[in-house]
Amino acid sequence: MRNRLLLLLAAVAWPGAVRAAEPPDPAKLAARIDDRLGAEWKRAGAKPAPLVDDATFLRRASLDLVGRVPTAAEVRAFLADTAADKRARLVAQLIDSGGHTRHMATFWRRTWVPQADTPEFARLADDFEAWVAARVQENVPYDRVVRELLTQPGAAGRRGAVSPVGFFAASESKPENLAANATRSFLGVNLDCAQCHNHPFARWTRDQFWQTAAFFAAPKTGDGGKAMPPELTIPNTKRALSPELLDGTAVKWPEVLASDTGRKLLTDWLTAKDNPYFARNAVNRLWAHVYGTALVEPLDDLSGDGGNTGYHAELLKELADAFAASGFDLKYITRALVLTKAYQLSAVTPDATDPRLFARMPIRGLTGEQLYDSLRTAAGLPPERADTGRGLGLEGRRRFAAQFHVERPVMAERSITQALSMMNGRLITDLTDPAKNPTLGGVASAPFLDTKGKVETLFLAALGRKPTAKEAKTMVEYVEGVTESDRDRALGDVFWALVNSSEFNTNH
Amino acid sequence: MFSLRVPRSALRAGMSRRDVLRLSAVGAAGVSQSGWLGALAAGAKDDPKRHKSVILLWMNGGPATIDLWDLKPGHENGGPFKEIEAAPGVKISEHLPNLAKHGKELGIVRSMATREGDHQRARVVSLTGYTPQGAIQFPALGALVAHEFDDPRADLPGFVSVGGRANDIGGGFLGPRFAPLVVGGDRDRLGFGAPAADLKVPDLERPAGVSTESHAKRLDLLSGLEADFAPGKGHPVAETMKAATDRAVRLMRPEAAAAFRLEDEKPAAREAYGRGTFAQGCLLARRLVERGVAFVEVSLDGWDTHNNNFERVKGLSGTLDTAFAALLADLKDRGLLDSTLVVCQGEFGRTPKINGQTGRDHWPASWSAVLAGAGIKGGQAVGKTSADGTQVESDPTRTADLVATVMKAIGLDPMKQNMSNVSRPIRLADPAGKPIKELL
Repeated sequence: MRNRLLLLLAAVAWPGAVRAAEPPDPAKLAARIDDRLGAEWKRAGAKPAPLVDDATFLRRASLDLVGRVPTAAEVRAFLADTAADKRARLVAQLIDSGGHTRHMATFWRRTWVPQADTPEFARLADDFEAWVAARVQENVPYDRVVRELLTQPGAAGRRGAVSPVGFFAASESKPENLAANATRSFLGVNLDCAQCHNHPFARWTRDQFWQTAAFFAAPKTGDGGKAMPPELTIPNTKRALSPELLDGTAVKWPEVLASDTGRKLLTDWLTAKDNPYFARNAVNRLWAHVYGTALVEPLDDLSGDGGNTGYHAELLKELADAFAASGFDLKYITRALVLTKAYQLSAVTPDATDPRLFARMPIRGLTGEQLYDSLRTAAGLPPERADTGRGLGLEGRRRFAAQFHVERPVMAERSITQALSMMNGRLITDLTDPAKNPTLGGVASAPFLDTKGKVETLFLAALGRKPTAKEAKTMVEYVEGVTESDRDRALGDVFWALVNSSEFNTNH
Repeated sequence: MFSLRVPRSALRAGMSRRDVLRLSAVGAAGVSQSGWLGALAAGAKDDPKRHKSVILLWMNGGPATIDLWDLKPGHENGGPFKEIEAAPGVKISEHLPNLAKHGKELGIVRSMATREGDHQRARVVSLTGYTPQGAIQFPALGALVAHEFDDPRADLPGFVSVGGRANDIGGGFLGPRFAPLVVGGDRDRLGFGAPAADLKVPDLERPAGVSTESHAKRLDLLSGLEADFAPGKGHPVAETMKAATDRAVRLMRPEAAAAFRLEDEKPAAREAYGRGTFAQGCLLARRLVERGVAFVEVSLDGWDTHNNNFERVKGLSGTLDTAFAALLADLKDRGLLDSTLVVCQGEFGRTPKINGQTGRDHWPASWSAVLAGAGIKGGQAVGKTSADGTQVESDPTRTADLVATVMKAIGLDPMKQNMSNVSRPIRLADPAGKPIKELL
């Protein structure tokens, strides 16, 4: 009831007044988050971890927002910057960069079309990501992105292959697959299990599953060839169902039905500001993207107890409302999430607290893409560009990313095969060769750098920080302990050790 | 616990022969104190606590089991092959003469009846035991077994796949730690069939140009970095990175890497299995099981015989017959057959009706699988198909039943649950499955 009222108020203020109004301030929302979390810490008697230093912040924000570690030059510049608001400025700058576009395109593609991470559907990834990237770059409102995705798959021919049709292809265009994937992706609701039986842990029934699926079915032909609302029969039963919305809202069918009317009606309901899940799902997934753990877990069970009465159900609702009120502005909500004090907390605390308190930052694994791009960045190589054709470079990136695929970074695990590849594989072997690693090559041939300076540069490039005195001593002693002609190789060994460390391989 | 600070000598993968000798000459005491050498010895077959193992001989493409294990001579669907006796009342193809000699070990299930007729889907169902459901990432059987018998101190991984495989069926919700170590077969090309008999672990060897000293030094530098990385302490993700590197380093050690050195086998032993990737892969499977690996998959590709079925099946039968029979004999000789379950199956069978190209097409409705070892009651055929081979006339055996049988045979409870990625507990075998009691 209260939601309806709020919505009514919002509708009055919208959309006429919106252009004139000040854009919402992400810092204010960030402060709300800190207030809320602070209250939770107090209640739980938890002491939050200290704030991280500048180098750690730069690395964390770069990995989260542009998908790679910072370059040595970026680290030096950021450390030298004395402005008080440099972290906020960095966040804004990263979010407006091309790296953010590409990184988030992969994030949303993985959220919406996870099937493209399997060999069977891998071919869908590029085109779909290119489509998302164009939208992220223009900061198209999130609701419009989803609307386009669900209602215009036929647009494929118009602008080359850049279309969201991959979402349909990954579902094999079957109504039941589309229903399961759309509700999971855009609502954070898991209907999958209700496909075959009434779900024991949630409220959804098998009928509701097939009623949702029916929106994706073609209209039925009625008397005199007139198109009628579609009907789906539950397999192996005689039960035929028409489309119904999950929350019981009545479906208003127009007089004349087109082949995609059902899909459009579902999309209208799904992307509406008052949809109970749509905004919460987007914010919850973005939160998980930057904080590791989502506000409400599991990610696809917003309709369960956690979503309604769980630990942070209220905070999620508040953020979702702000997101909807901003006109589903993705950059606004992303900035708000990373401008908090909570985002700046260290991963180091004397004692582990409940991860749901967000009183310290968890350590996350890097996605395959993050790892690949970070290795290249550390080596001083430019990123492989997606817009310069399908060269071998991109193919190499894809292959590496698939080999190092991570489902949830906060629960990442590493296999022996992956570890062997990091130790002895072709890519790493190349990167320990000064001829193929500009960072290493530059350091090796720099006449103005002593060994300590060389080691320091390697640390900045790979780990985004200066070595400790102890680390510097160990490394310098090793490099200077070999014969003159072996020095370059020894520097390669240092680089090898740096990129094989868990510090390099995680976001912390 | 995950320290990389082990005696440097133990870290030198690929020591030269002289290094090894010198090391033994000065006494291996310093090394074995670290426990690295001890681990392998403890995996030997005399260990009373030794767990059972599975070797899955995967007939990729869907073998014409009507021409292997359940012939229909005299019927128009039967084809030209003759039957020979493997055990009293149990006849198999004349092109499996060596296996026939081991007939008393073979439990032939002639009542396999499954639903998937598409290679990929059938492969997923067979190799995970479950029909795909939404977002649940079902692990491969090998991952489930490796997870149950997991020993974090073991030098070798618990699940090894030999000869290439589709790499989309791995650790699933159990995570990459239980994904197979793939030996031979280019994982990037997504295919089966390793090039030649090149059964190597990818990237197991030091890159060319990195000396043993250099490698040891790198690991020294790395362990220093790890020791100083404060945020890594107590965080599971950082621990898994360190643990994986640690296990990779151990696998690189000559003692562990030796498991993959088929050249250490006597030439006669290698010959007994036959040549080629599959045959040598079976030999490798025996070496791995002997060293405590819980699950080994060995793939034989080429069974998708839409045309020229009989000539191709005859050829493949020869490869299978020699290697499978040698494996059974070898396991028996070494006292390993009682603790090793060998399963031979593909993703489905093939149409009893012979098509216009003298081929057979996909057929999940009635086919055979074979089990041996680990206490399986051999010398019998369970279930029965109709005279034309198109129907199972006894109680049908589903994939879930077969998986439950495998679990039970190696001492696992098929009803044991693991938490899945969708926070829903999933049993080792689909609870619809019932172990085949005639075999156990």
